[in-house]
Amino acid sequence: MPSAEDQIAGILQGCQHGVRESQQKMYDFFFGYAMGICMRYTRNREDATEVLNDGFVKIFRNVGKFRVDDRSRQVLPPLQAWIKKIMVYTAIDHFRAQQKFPHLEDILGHQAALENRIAGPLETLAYEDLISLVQQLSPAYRAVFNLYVIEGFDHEEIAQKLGISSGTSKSNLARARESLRKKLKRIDERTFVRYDQ
Amino acid sequence: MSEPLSDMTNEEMDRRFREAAEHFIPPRDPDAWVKMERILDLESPKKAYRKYLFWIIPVAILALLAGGYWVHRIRDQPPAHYLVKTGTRSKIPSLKAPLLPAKSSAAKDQQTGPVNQTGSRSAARGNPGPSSPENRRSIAVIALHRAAQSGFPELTPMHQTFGEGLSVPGISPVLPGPLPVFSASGKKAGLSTRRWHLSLVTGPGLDFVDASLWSHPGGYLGVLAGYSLSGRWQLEAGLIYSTQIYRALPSQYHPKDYSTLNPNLSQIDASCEVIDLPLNIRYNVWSSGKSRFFAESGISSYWMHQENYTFLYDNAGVQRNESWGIKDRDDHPLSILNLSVGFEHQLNDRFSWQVEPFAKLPLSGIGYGRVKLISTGVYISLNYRW
Repeated sequence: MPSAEDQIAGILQGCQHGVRESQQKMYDFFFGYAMGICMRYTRNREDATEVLNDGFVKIFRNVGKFRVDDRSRQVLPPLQAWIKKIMVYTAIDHFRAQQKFPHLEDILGHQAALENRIAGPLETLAYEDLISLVQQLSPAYRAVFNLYVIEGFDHEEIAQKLGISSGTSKSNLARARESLRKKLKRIDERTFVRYDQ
Repeated sequence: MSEPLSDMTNEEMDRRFREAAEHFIPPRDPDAWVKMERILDLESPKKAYRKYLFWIIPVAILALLAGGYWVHRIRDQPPAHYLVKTGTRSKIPSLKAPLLPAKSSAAKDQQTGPVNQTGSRSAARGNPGPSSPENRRSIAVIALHRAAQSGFPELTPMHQTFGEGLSVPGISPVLPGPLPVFSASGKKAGLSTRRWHLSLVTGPGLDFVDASLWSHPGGYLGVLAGYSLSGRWQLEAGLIYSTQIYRALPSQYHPKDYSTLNPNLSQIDASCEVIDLPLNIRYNVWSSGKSRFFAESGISSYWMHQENYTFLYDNAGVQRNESWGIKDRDDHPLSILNLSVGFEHQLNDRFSWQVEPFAKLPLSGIGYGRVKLISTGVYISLNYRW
């Protein structure tokens, strides 16, 4: 049985030659990983799939330029990092495009419905539940929260990427945290009410 | 009990969300790849064109055959100027009537038709002789029509027919230059002179990039259609399916998107299904009895129908293989030079067989690896003429 490293080396070479079978294998191999990134940046799975597919088009188009450090001879870690970078930047492009055509995504009823689905003590919340809370943030808060907290960019970098000022970035981060804290508090309270009953 | 939210610091909350982001793996969507593939298809419109390529080729060959047949028919019909221009002849003269007037009537017919005019003028000018293009054309036209009307009744050498049957004032019956010994029916002794032929071609082949790296032999199977331009020259086109098996070194393998991903790559084994679309011209070098030798050259376009590659990696003695295939991805128009010599033997008026050693030399790189692939082999063909 070939190792994941060997598998991905073969898949990558096929993708570099435009082999559709290899492209499908790469898509399947990294689907969960890449979809996890895209969902954090979008409000629902449908939008996340759109970002994901746009990202994979970029990956297949540019996979010939992907290089591995000859000294390490490892393919998987740098490839994963490269895919993450492409997905994050595609999500940012998506965010900026959405900013040009704002829509009513923060419908309170929709948010409440999502929140009501989540229940339980904070430490027992599933990762999926925490990500869905991030998804419920407004696009501007969500983008800054992801870039600062998850990806580790500083405010200057975020401001540059999103086309905002660093002050706005800081402000959006504070509001994102506050919004999440409120949501978590509501979940917590609901949980205690259930336990009390 | 859960931790009170009011006590949670920003750092702690960030850590929890970071952890969730690292471990969150959404479930697989079974329809996701279908959507993705649709996008990729739009990205490469070349594929759509390829769907029709299998239909375009046979339609083009049929059109070529039909066009050739039409040209052939036109060539067989009498030229309009011969029938109309003179104003005195309304139809081709019958076999029984003398084709050309006797000496005594030459003057009378002087104004009536191009043949007589030419003859008389030639005489008047002191006989430029049969080398005059007009004379030769006229003689050929007359001979053709006589032969057509006669139904090719007997095998009489053409030069005799001219010598005995024609008496054009001022024109010598001796034709310029040596002519092949054709009968009235246009047949050369033992060899069919039918203009069209269809060949069923098969044979083994060996393909290599480097003569020291032989792999397994491949094979050829195809259909060619041909048209004789003259007794010696012949055009040929068609479709040949071939399996090309070869071995290459990384230094000979130059894919477009080549990267330094696998420095341990030591060898590539390829097995490709190729559709070869040749357009060749043939010259009959020598003939005797029912046999002839010929030389042929031309150019081929390759359509790589299926390419299967096995990459052999050698990492400090530890070897591993990777294999994958691609379909209908590469085509190489006018990229191969065809060279061959052959021997053809006539079985009867319509059928013949031939054996034809060939070499196909690359004018550009072939397949994904853009390798300079040389193909050699022997075509064995059965020809049908009509």
